[in-house]
Amino acid sequence: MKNLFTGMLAMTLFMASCSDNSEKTEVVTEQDMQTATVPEMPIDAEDTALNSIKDNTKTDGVPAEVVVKETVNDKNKTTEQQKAFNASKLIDGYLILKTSLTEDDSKSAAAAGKAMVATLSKIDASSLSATDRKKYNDITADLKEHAGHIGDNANSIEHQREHLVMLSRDVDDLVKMAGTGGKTLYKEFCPMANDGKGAYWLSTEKDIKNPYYGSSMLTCGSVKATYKK
Amino acid sequence: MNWIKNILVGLGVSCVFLQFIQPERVSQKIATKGDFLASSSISDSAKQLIRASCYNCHSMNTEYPWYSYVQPVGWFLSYHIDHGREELNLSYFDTLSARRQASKLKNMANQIKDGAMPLSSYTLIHKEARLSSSEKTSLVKELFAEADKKLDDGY
Repeated sequence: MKNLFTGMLAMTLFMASCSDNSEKTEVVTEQDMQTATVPEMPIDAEDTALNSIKDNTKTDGVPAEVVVKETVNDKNKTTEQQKAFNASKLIDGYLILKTSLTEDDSKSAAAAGKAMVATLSKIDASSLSATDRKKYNDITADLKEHAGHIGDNANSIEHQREHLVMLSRDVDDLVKMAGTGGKTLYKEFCPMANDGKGAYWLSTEKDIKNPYYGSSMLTCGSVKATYKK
Repeated sequence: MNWIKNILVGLGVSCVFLQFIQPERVSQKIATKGDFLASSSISDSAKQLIRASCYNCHSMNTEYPWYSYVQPVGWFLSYHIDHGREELNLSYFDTLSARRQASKLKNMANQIKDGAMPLSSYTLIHKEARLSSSEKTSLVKELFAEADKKLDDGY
């Protein structure tokens, strides 16, 4: 009788704990996610606040001189762009991801995708105007999904390449907002990718190395635009 | 062998008790304001395919089968549906930005093209959700075209 009771209790508890998880039917709409992207960022909110009091120019371990250099180099930039966030780490992450796919290395691409998601939460976009902030949130919400899916699909390079299409577009739009992070970037195009509709990617090299096909068609494509540093 | 009998009886009684812990079910009968089927410009036949193949897990208009009331099967389904709605909730599709809509449409097209969606474990039971290869081809084409319409900004 004791056994029966213990067995019953154990089973019920076990199942009930599963049920707790599954009853979480709160639906996260994209809007929620977009608005949540920024507020959920500061893990050490107090630390961040303290740092910003101590040193206004530093953004999360990224040398402040990079930002300064850019604004000095390019006097044509509007004040809006001067106030932009520092996207250099994100761009670096993207370049590693893209290069991994040119080398057919899905595992390394997945790691880079995960790193991009992690980097995203460290970017300080608080100085953006309300309009730019909205645009930034839209782009990064999209970027987060694509980088995340690439991170989760280390065993399916085809799936990773599908997500690279929109990820490249998102990074491109961030570059337009925040600059190239001190690099010259080439916007390159393969007419066969994306189910025959063509797709872009960004690279630091003029020589084409196609991330959508890798070794099977490495040199397919051409340079369409240049983002100077 | 009395203890084996006790455990079996215990399991049986537990299963009865499990039935009292039912997951929450969300099933709207009417379309929400941002519903994909109301806002999309894809053809009616394509909409019908989306409705039949995607809406049970990717919208708030889930039609719960009888076995969703049997636990722990219901919990398993509930978990899948929650995850499905998190990835793509067609009931609120039109509340997304153009960029997000384009991304979702491309993802839908790619998933269908690759045969990843609808899930084979789902179509095994739900015959009405199966897509023939010609249905897949036309649907994928329409979804890609719809995505491009959203992104018409000269990128």
